[in-house]
Amino acid sequence: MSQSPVKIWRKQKINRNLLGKSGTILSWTEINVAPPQYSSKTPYTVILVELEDASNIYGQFVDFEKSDRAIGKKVRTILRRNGDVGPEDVLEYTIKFVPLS
Amino acid sequence: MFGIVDYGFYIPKYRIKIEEIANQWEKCADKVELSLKIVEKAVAGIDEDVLTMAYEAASPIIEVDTTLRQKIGAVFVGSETFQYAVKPTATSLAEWLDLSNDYLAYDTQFACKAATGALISALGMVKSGDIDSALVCATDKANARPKDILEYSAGSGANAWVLGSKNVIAEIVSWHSYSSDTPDFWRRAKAEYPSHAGRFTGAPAYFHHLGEAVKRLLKKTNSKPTDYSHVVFHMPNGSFPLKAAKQLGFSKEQMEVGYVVPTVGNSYSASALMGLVAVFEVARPGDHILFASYGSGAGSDAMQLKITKDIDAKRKQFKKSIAQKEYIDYGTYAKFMNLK
Amino acid sequence: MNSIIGYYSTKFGELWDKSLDDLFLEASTGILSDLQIEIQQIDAIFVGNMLGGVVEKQLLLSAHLSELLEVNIPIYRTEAACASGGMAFHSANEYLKSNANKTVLVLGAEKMTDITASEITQALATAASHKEQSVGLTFPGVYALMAQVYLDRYGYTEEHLAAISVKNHAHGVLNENAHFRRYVTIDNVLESPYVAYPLKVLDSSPISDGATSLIMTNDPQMVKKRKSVTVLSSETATDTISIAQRKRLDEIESTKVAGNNAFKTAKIQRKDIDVMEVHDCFSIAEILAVEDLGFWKKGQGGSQAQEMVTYRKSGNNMIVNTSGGLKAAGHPVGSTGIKQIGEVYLQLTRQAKERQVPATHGLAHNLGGSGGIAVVSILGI
Repeated sequence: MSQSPVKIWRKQKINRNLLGKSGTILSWTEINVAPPQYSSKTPYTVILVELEDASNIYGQFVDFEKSDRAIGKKVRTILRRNGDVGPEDVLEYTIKFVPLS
Repeated sequence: MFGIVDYGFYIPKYRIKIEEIANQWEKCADKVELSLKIVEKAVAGIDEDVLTMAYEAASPIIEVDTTLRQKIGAVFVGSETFQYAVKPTATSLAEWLDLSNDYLAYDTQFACKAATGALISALGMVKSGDIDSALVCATDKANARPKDILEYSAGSGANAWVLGSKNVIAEIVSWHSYSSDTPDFWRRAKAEYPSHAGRFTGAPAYFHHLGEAVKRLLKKTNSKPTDYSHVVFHMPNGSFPLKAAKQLGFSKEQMEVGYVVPTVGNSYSASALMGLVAVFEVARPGDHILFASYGSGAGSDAMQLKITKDIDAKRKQFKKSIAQKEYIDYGTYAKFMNLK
Repeated sequence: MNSIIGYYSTKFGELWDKSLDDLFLEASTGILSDLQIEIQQIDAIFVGNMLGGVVEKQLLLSAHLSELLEVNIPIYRTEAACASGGMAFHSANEYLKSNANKTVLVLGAEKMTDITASEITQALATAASHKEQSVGLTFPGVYALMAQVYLDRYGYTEEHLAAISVKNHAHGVLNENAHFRRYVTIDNVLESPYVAYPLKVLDSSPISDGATSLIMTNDPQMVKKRKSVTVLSSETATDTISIAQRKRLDEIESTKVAGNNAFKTAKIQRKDIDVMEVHDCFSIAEILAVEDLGFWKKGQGGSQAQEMVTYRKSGNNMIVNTSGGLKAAGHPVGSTGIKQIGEVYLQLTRQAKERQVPATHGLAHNLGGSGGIAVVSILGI
């Protein structure tokens, strides 16, 4: 159900550089039917964000009011757990977004 | 001079009222609140854990002084709710903070005093000159058996402390640790929830160890209760620290600022230190602070701190920040705490 | 000149008692029997299937089919997510361009209902980029992101999307192999649960089992006395797998490129097209497709959809998805691209029975993933 530890380890070095960034929501959706890793988390929101350096990244959007979740709203990156893994698997952490207050 | 050069904290925005929990178990909410002196506690969200909270507490410190990345020679994390029994959270924290690889790391457990013990060890390493600076984090997403009395107090929170010798904002003047083998509260390696021995957690455990640590520190430093502007004791609930203060001769006024448990709950290893965060918001240069943590199993780390003139540049807003909150119901609380 | 001389389709739906092997066998033996062709007359097989490896744990489908059909001929498997079938057809067409006097079997099959909804969601998400998968963005989620931008930019609502499903269901009622043969109303669509906002269950093509096949040839002897159509062009184009990297979120560039090339190669104009099978994996996808193929101006699609201008009973002369589209006919992934060609073939050879519309030129548009690959083919009679 989870990623290989090696893939997690490699991704961490890339993800780390996305911390402390902010951007604008290009689009958003709320997922109700999810793959097994995220099934216990539905409904959850995923957004596509244009960061300040003009690159586009995806991330789950958390800790928001409904009014924060719209095209054009500003957001920033944070570190959170990514989905569920088995009881004996290495944990996954990832970049998610919260509203830029 | 050696001591704290900077610090950070993170308390999740979610709160559950003691009343909400009591109603769930058909207990009289008023009576529970009265005896525990807690109104509500902070709860970490569904995708937050001890690492993400420690990161939130520590990252602003690094952002303000990026040279710390090379200077930090030790990273210690204290918690009771590590996700791993084997695999340090300290190295994950260091990695996400993008520290150099030249540091000593370990995770520690000693119930609610897991981090303060590490703080004292880190102080020694800085004092000896072996390392320039140390990062010590306390972080817990404390859980409790549903319906157990601990469910009302077990909360979430984290704080981070950098120890060093330059621009110290709070000198750690002296410390004393008092320890013994006392099984008042514990969690077996593969158990999900902690267990406790009821009223045994009082006099022979909390009050004895904290009391002795404080008394022996006062003696060691040749000081008396009235010498201290602020006093912070570990807060397993709202009544124990006030009772200990009375027993040891400290006033309600001295306890007041650091007494944070009624509105944020007991964040276990981060609990007493959270009281220190509250004190740092208002403490003035020259103030002496008396601090004592308590860890079941059992032990207490008492410290005498002296605030310096450098505090003004580094103090953080605490009271206003914890006023930002969102209430959740018991069902949501259960969902948040069920992170696997 | 390449011709299609026959088409066969199994029923599409939840075919509990049919395995992937059963489906492959039915589509291949079925078409050979219908056309009275022996397997020995087939020079090569082109097979489209997406999930053989992921769900069935079966790769090397060429050898698998060699065993099923008892042949030693060349077998080429293409995987292009939902365009696996279209790419199988396209590859067959390319093969026939460079190998004279050959007859080939094009085969597509997919078995999707042996696993849970959550597991199939995960399997289908392998057509999305890793960056999309690693944030829990499902396939419907990716199209939902595009739908949000489209609705916001052009001022449309979920009702405009719903019109596509209503039309395709009405068409599917007339298709004896369709997964769904019932009418749905705009309200039915709007009341169906959200899969990934704003796309609902009735905006989304279903999870179906099924298999389809075609016989193609460039051998004049094989075409004699058979109902045949000519492949005027088949073009393919690609684009980024992540929509995050695209130039625009409200259009699918691979469709535009493949479409333009298909018309250029076929030397016909858009007004010559009478019937189209386009890739409506989600209602928004059909709107984008008809725009990106150059039939509607960008942003016009929503109102065109609402007015049902491509419905068989509209009185207009360009009808879209007479088969019921992916939505009503069903979407056994590897079979769809071949079904699309097959439906156009039936229309052009006047074999579409109650679904028949007047048609001398038809177009099939098959998309892989969120538009990472497009295959556009134009047939004429």
